[in-house]
Amino acid sequence: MGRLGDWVDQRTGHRELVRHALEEPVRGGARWAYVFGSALVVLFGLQVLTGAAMALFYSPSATDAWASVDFIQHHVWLGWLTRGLHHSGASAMVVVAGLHLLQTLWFGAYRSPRELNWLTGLALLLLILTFALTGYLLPWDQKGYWATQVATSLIGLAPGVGDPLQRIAQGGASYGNLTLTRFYGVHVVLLPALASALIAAHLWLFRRHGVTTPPWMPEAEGEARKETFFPKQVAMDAGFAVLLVAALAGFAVRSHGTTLEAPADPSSQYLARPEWYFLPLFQLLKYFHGSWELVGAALPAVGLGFVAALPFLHRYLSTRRPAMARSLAWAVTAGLAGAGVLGVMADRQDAADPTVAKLRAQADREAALAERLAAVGVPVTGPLDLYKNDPLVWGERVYTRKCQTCHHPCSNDPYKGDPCLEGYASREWIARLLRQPAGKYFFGNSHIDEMDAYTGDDASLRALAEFLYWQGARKDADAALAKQGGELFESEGCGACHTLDGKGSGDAPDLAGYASEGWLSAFIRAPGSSRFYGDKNKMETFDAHKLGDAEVAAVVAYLRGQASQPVKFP
Amino acid sequence: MEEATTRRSLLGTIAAGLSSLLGAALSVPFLAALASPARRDAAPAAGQGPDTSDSRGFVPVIQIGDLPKGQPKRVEVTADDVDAWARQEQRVMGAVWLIKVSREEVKAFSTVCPHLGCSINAAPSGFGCPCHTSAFSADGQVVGGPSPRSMDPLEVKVEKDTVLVRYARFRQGQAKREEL
Repeated sequence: MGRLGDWVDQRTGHRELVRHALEEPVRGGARWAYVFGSALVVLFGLQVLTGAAMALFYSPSATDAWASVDFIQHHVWLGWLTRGLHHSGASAMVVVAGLHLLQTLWFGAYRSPRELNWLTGLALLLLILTFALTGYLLPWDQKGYWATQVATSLIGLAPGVGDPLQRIAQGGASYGNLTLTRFYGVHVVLLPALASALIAAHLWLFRRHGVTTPPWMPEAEGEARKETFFPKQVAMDAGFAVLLVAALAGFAVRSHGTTLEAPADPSSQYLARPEWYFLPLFQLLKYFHGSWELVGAALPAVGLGFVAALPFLHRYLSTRRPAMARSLAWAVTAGLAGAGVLGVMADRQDAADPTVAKLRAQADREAALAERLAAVGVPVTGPLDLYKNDPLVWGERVYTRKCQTCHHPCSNDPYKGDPCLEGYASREWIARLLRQPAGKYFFGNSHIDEMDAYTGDDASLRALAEFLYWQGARKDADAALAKQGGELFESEGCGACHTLDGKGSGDAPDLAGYASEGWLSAFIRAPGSSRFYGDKNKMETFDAHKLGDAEVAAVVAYLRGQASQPVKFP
Repeated sequence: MEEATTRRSLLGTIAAGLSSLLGAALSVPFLAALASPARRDAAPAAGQGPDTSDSRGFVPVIQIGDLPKGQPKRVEVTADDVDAWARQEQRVMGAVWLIKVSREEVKAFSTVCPHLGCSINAAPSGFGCPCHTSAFSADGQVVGGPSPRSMDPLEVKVEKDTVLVRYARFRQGQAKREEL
């Protein structure tokens, strides 16, 4: 080993390099306040390694990205942990970079001649945020998709150059494959290369100027208490980094990695929220509207400009006021605290908003559903077709989008929709319709109220309902009771308006095969035909342009399934 | 002085130990991801996923009437399949050489050369691999070239005039036939 080391050293001089690195003089002695820089290097290493691990599986395309991340989460060895570490590692980088900045600020280590240390450090902080922004989109889930839209739309606000800049950022006029390939390329090639170069420059500059003596310590004392980087400071740095990584791992284990929301769906309603470190910017935008929005977006840039100018400001101002360093440190700290307050406000406002809670719960449900459906593979046509893995699920999605705009959820209070279809064509639903055809959960709001409420006894009501239920080719229908109901249908005068011949009269819907597959698909395609409501029809006609055959079939499957569901209104 | 040296050496050991621990811990996710496909329960790759055809994996490839008797015909095999995460109906899994013996009997060989995986062509006296000039007789026996074994036969059956094949891949470059 020693001889091999000698051989290599004669050719590379690596021992000198290691010695140079380890014997760096730390003026004033090792201290815990100095651990953040090394911790950032360790975190960068963590991100590179977990990122490389995921790159072995990730596929940057609109059809595959979500599915490949789901694959990493569920099928790759420790994939969930890797995702969790990469995600919380990004947060940790922001936190530790903030602490590193504050330490440098309060120790006055930004002052001349360390202007470029400060500026490269600031550039690295911006790189960390760009990493976060570009990485957020890559899973192509709802969260990343909608939050990133906000960021690229903001770029579009820039006067004059907004449109081309936005196109450059997102790889085209709208989000798609090119956005993903672009974000991926930037995230895994360009930014790491830039960051590595900047870290090297930052370290080189740091070594050139050395550790700043703490501001409260006279230079002579700092010199006297000087020690080398190795071993004490290295032990402190490594100790802190070990604790940090252990905490991140613990966090990742506790939350089983990080969430993967439902696949990005451009047609959905989704509550876009950025990652916590962008919440202050998000909150700030709430206060600026219209053309002022640009001002809101520019404010952080002004703040950043101030921080960048700090060494120069200090040099200029301290000739007049020697205690200037403290005032500047307070100013930046107050600015950061202000940003923190904005972030907390954003969080509080969301916590107090029932709509937010509702949309979040919905997002969680959709995420769980997508995860379940993806267990048998994601269609090559993309994760949105995942819902077609299960016709009932797909039917519900189509129903929610296309039908629920009029047939509101029964839980709406007050109910102002057309007939509420949760529990549709179940015995209970039919019986209630017969009792209250003009009730608000049936045709009351549609103002199709010519039908008389059935006033017969409960036994007859049950027979009539069974007759209509039986029309839907239900396996569990009671044929004898239905036959009895059929006789009542004639004797009670239902047949005066409702035919049973499959053709209809235009007066009222024909009820032959009521709520069967054939009846429902024909109805959805042409509710205004004489077989159904005729001239009285108020429902939208869903022709093949509005709803494909497969979608009609899915909605029909969903509606058929409702007959075994409980009625959801009082 | 003695005490300071001891202290320094202890701190040095701690520093080196913690740094090594850190290096090892950080490598775990990458090594796990790298080694992931070697696990026995690793997710299926293309061609090994669940398919919705016959329960034993037989998929229909051609009608018996479309096969010329005694003359090898190359036929594509498609099946419902999951490649890592992507589920596809009728994905092309590969191809087979079919030789009709009678209306009830067909022989099937994989088109993948047992040597190094090139695609085997029909030749005047049987089959041949264009990559390294392995030669096979009309019934798949190796008659020349570097191939360590004969062409890989595939399970095949004829049901209601439809030829069904159970497609499989085999380890290459060895005399023993071993299904993957």
